[in-house]
Amino acid sequence: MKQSIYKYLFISILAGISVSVYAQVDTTRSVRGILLGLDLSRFVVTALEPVHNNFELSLGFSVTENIQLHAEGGYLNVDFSDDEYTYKQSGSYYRFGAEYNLLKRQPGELDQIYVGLMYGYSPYTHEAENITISDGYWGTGEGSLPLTRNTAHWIEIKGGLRVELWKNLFVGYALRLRIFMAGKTDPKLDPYLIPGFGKAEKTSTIGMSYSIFYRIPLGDKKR
Amino acid sequence: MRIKTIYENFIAKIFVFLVLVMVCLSCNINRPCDEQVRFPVNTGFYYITDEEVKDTILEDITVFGIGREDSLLYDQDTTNAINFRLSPYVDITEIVIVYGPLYDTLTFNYSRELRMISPECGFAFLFDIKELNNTSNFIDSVSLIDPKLEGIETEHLQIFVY
Repeated sequence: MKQSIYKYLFISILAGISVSVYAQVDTTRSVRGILLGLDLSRFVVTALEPVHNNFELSLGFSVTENIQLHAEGGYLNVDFSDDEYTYKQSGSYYRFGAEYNLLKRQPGELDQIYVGLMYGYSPYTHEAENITISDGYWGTGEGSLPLTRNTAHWIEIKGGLRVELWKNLFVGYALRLRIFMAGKTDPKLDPYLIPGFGKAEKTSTIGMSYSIFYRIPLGDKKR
Repeated sequence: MRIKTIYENFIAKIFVFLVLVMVCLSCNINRPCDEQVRFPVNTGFYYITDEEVKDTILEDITVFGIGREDSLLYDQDTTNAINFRLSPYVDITEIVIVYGPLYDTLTFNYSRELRMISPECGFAFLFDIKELNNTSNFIDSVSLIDPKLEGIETEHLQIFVY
């Protein structure tokens, strides 16, 4: 049994195939419940980019059979140096919205294929130090751009699936199309990224998350 | 034990396909810098007749900065326009224009603004000229058309010669 779970979890990570395993249809389970999530893909980002202390948590709550309200929040730091400058950024981000389940489910089954719409907001600060500029005639000099406080607002359309691997333990991934709406930006310094949004030079970005969830059951009937 | 494979669901197949496509689309591609990172003073030479202003061609023009007399900012046999950079490290730059045996000095007072041009191109200084003075050996007068050095196309300075 355990081997089967590991096998299918591994396959799901590699190929984007998610599989749920359970013994029988459980008609005592309600769709109600609180879903707590941790985005595992943030740790991959930390390994590939100069991003530190990057984590994202989520909280979901079913309001009807197929509609869930979701709140997501995260934090990150960016810190890197190269020959030209030292860059530091830190910020948090928040998303609020709803998901609609597309999957026709059997009683007690809580797997989801969903689409959702969210509003995103990020306050962040950034600065650049030890900026070295070479002029072919006048020589080389240094400068800095002091810390500024900035914000970003965006709309996010997401689609994904969430599969119960074990009782109340889910994994799932989501594709996220983010469309920048407004914000206070620094005219002198482009942010390395907008926390929760992605590359700042784009007005729309595509992201993906792979998360693990635990459902706190509410409204389940006792046998 | 019942095993349900969502992968067999048609919607899930479409979703998996979209995942792969979008992951590919979201890859970063390093782009070369294709923007201007130096902002010189674009200068034209003119002379004034009784009736109109005409551009003029000068021969044997060289330009250097005070403090860097060992190196030329500009060296051209025949031209009606020159460009030269102000020092990005101080707020006053003195530029000497040599026209044959004649020398004139332009003194620029300006403010500088450090700015990231783009992640690909890095940082650059932009200038805003506050004051300009000149000597008058072959220069009759100067006219500062655009004090902000932020673009390469604009003519910033007109020099009227005798």
